[in-house]
Amino acid sequence: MHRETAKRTLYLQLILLLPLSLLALCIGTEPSSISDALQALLGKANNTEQLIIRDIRLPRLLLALLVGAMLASCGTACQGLFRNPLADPSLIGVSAGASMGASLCIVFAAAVFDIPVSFLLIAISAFLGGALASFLVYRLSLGDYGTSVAMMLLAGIAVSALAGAISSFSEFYSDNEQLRRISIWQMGNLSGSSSMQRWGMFALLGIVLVLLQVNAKKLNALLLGESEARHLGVNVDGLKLLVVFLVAAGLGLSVALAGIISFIGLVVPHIMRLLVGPDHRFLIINSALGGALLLLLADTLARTIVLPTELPVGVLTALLGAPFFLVLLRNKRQKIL
Amino acid sequence: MNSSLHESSEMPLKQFACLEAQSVSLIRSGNEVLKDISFSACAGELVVIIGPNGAGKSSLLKTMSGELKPSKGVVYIHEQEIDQLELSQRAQSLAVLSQHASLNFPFSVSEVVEMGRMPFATGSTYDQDVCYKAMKAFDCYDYRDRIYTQLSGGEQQRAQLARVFAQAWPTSNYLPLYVFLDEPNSSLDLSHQKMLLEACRQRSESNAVLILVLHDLNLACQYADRILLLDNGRLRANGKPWEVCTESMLSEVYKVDVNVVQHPKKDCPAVYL
Repeated sequence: MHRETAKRTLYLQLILLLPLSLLALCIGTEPSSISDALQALLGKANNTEQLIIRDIRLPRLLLALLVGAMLASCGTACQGLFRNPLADPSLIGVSAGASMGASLCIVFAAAVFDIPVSFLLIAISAFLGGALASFLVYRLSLGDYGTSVAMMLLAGIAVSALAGAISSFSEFYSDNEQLRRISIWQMGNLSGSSSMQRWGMFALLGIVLVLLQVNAKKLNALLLGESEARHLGVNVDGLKLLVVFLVAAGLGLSVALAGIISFIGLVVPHIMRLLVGPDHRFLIINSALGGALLLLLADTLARTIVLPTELPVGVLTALLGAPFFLVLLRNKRQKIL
Repeated sequence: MNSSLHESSEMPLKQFACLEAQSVSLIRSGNEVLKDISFSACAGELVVIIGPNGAGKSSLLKTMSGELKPSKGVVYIHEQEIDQLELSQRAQSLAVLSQHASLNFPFSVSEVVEMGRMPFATGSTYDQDVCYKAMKAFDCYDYRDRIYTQLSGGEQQRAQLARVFAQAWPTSNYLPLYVFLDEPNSSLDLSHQKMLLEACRQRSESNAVLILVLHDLNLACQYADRILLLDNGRLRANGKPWEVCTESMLSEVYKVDVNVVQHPKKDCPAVYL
C-alpha cells in the first residue's frame, strides 16, 4: 500500500523538478526567457542573460538541490537514530558543531599550524565538529528505554550554546577577511560554489543515499528500540556509528559549502512521513527529493522577494520551519515528551 | 524432563532446544542484581519467572537473551555460549519481547509484525503467510492497517506479540526456538491473556523453550511447566507449580500472608490474598 504511494510521490517530485528548475533559472534581477534558459543549459552563452544563467543561476540551482537533498536525508537518518521524529541536525546542535569546526579552522589553522586554509580543510573541520556534537548529544539523551526528547533538546541547546560560544570566540580573534568568510556561512548562502565543490557534494550525497538505502530495513528495526533491533539481528552499534558518521559528514560538507540552513531536515522528513509512511526503504529517497525541491524553492524566493537585494536562505527556511516545528510540538507533546 | 522426547526421536540430541544458566551473577551500577543463578530448560517447557518487584526478573531475562553480559557465570543456548553466537544466527532462533516497547513512528500494525521476519530470507509470500497467522493468533488481524501509535496499550502489546511470534515461527525442519517474554500480559484483558498463554503453550510443543516473566501467580500456576521464584537476586525455588507456590514460600518471599488452595477445575494451586 505504502509502496504504491511512495512510487507515485517519487514520480510526482521528479516531474515537479523540471518546471521548478526552469523557473529558478529564469527569474531574478534580470528575468530571462525559457529559451535563454534552455540554451544556457546546453552550455551556450550568446548574450548576457545566458551568461548569467550559465555561470550564476545554474551553479546556485545545483548547489541548492544537492544541499537540500543532503539536509533532508541526514534529517531522516538522524530521526531514525534518535528514534524520534523531532530530531533535526540543526536543533540538536550538529549544525552548530559543524559551524564551530569551520570557524575554528578559518581563524586558527593558519595562525597556529601555519597551514593554508583550503576548502577541504574547512569541510573536514566542520565534519569533526558535527561528529563531536552529534555523538555528545546522542550519549546525553540516551536513557535506559530509548532517547528522551526533553534530554535531546536540552542537550542540543547546551551543545549549540557551547559551539556558538566557541565560534564567537574565534570570531573575536579573526581579522576582517576571516570575519567576512565566517559570517557568510552563518546566514546560509548558496552562491559562489566551484564545480569541484559541487562534484564533491554530489559524490558524498550519492554515498550517503546508497548507504542509508542499503541499511533502510535495519533503520526500521532500530525504530522499535535498540534491544529490539539487536534481537532482530541488527548490529546496532555499527549502525549507529555509521549514521553518526554519515550525518556528520553530510552536515559538515553542507555547512562548509552553504552555512547553517535549518529546518529542512525536520520539515521534509515529516511531510514525507505523512505522505509515504515511516518505512525508510521509501522515505529516504523521497525525503532527498523533497529536500532538494524545498531548498530550491526557498532559495529562489530568498533571492527574488526583496529585489534588487537578497535574503539569506537560512532566514527563509527558519521563517518557514520554526512555526511548523511549534505546531508539531503542540500536537505531539502528550505522546512523546 | 523430556527424556521420552529424546529417546523416541531419531534426531541427535543437539537438535533440541535447550538453554542453561550456569551460576550467573550480574552487577549493575554497583548492586548485585543476580546472585549465582543456575537453571536449565529444554524443548517443550514453558518456564515462568515470578518474584516481587526488583527481584531481578527482567535482569535474568535480559542476561539469558544476551542483552546483558553476566559478571560471572555463563549462559548457554543450544549448547553454545550465547555471546559466541552470531547476531543474525541468534535472531533466527531467539525472539524477545521486552517490557518497554516504544515506537514513536506511524507504522501500521502489519508493518510492525513484518519486521519480525527480518532475520529470515524465506521470501515474501511465506513471510506474508507467517505474519497473517501470527496476527490471527493474537487477534490483531482486524486492525492490521491501523497506525501503531494510535492504538491502545493492549492493542499495541498484541501487535508486538504477533511480531515476536512471527520471528519465532516454527520452521519446516523444527529448528530449536527460544521465546522470552517480559510481562507480555501487562495490558491484556482476560480473554487475550488466555489467548497468549495458550499460544505459548502451543509454541512450546514445536521444539521451543518459552520463558515468561509474569506477575499473575494464578496464571503462572495454571500454565507453567516450571516456575522460577526469584527473591532479591537469588533463585529461591525452581520446580513445578505445586512445589514452588506453597503458602510458606510465597508468604515469606512476598512478605504478605497468602492462601494457597487447589484450583476448582485444574490440578494446580490457586493463590489468594
